[in-house]
This record gives sequence, C-alpha cells and structure tokens, in this order.
Amino acid sequence: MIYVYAICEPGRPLPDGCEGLDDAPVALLEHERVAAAHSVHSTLELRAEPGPLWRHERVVQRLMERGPVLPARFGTTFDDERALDSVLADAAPRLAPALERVRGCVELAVRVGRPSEQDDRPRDGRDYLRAKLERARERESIAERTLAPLNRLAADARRRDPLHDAAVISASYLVPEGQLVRFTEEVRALQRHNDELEVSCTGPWAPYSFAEEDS
Amino acid sequence: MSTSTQSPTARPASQQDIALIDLLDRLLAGGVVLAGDITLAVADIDLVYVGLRALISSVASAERQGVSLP
Repeated sequence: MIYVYAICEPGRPLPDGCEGLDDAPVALLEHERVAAAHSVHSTLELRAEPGPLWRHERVVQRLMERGPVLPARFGTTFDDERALDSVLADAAPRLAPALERVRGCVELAVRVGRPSEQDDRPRDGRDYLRAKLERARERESIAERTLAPLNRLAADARRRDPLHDAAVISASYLVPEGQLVRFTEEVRALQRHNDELEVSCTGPWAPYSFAEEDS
Repeated sequence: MSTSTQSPTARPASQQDIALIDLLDRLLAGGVVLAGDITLAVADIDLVYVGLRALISSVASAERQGVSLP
C-alpha cells in the first residue's frame, strides 16, 4: 500500500531523515512537473490520532524546506505505485499551477472567539432562533472589524467557521514568508485592542487550506 | 445533562490543544484530494473534536505558556 503525504516539485533530493508513518522511509514518485512524496507499506492501519497526524505533518514540514508543497489530505492511500502514477499523470495539469500559487507562502490559522455568556440557554424555540440569529450577526460584525487588517497582509484567505459554534470565527491565511512577522504583529495588536475577544494564531502550516482551488 | 459554566478564560487551553484542533482542521478537512482512497477510522475523530469551544485561547495566554509564535 502507498501512503501519500504531499505533492511537491520533482528534481531535488528529499531532506535527510525524512521518516513517515511507522518510520517508513519517504520517497518521491516523480513526473515532469510534479512529484508525490509517499511511503510504501505492506500493512498500514490509519487512525486519526495525534501520533500519526503529527507524523504526517512533520513529513510535510520537512518537505517545505525544499520548495513549495501541496499537503495531501490525511489518509490518502493507493493500492500500488501504478495507481498513484496514473492519478498523478491525470492531476498534474491542476497540481502544477496550484504549486505555483503557494510558492514562498505559509498558512496561518487564526481563531477569534467571544467568551460565551454565563447562561445563554434558550427559554423556547423562538428564543433559540432569535439568539442564534443574533450570534451570527455579532460574529459577522466582529469578523468585519477584526479580520480586515489580516486580509490585507495575506495573499489569500479562507473562512471556515465551526458549524456548531456561532461564536467562533476561524480563518486561514496564505501569507508570504516575508510578511510573517508583520502578520503576527497584527494578530497581537488585534488581541490588545479587543480585550473582550479571544484570539489564537497557530502556524506556520503547509498550505492545507489552499491546496485546492475551492476547498 | 449537566453543563459546565466554566468560561474558557478561567481555564485557558494549552497551545498544544489549539494546535491539535488546527491540525485536525487542516489534515482531515483540507489538503489536496487525490483520487486515491481515504482510509480512516472515522469514529475516532468526534472524540477529539469534543470541547472545541473550550479550547479557544488567547495569543497572550499561549505566550505566557512559553510558546513562541512565529
């Protein structure tokens, strides 16, 4: 079985000590314009647990040292090298420009949340709907006034707010490496100027949220 | 069902918790989708997502915990 970590550029060696799931060595399957970083396994039990997830992420991070990377979704497997090879050939026309789009950029994850009220349990259905609408409106107004300066510093931005929590804004930013310091300064300023909000920022990540045209 | 009234501010999440949530968001919902199989023990995922609301922390508290942000 073949496990795929990421799509990257061909023609350059992998960083030393690049070990994948179950400590298997990572190799490249190269095409003219794109390559797939993968490892080969006789058996592989994939579980969405911190250990394997971080291992996938670590391989992707190492790959970022050598050039642009499109990280694969966790759990992407193929029966054999031939199957991967044929998919790679088909997907190359869409993957090669996608690699260009993320060149020199990293992804930063920003969450902005409002601490929940002590007692916001609804009295009845109408009350519940009204409160839900209010929270959604409030979220948009918070997003408008807080995220604009971050948008200006980023090459691209995506919002994917958690469905189950109307009080949290979750955004991903594709940030040119040269803007990284300014961006994190802006995040700190955002927290300083908005005491009532809780702001978090993690990264730099590989461009997971920008790997597909519209993910 | 009992609900906790403890606010996230009272119990700041560790930077590790937030990093894990951000990791899950990216690896399980993002990334390039090739035509291969996505083989996962999906039942495991929900367990990790529980309590997301409580995991929001501030940049300030992350820094207090000695995590250097980029």
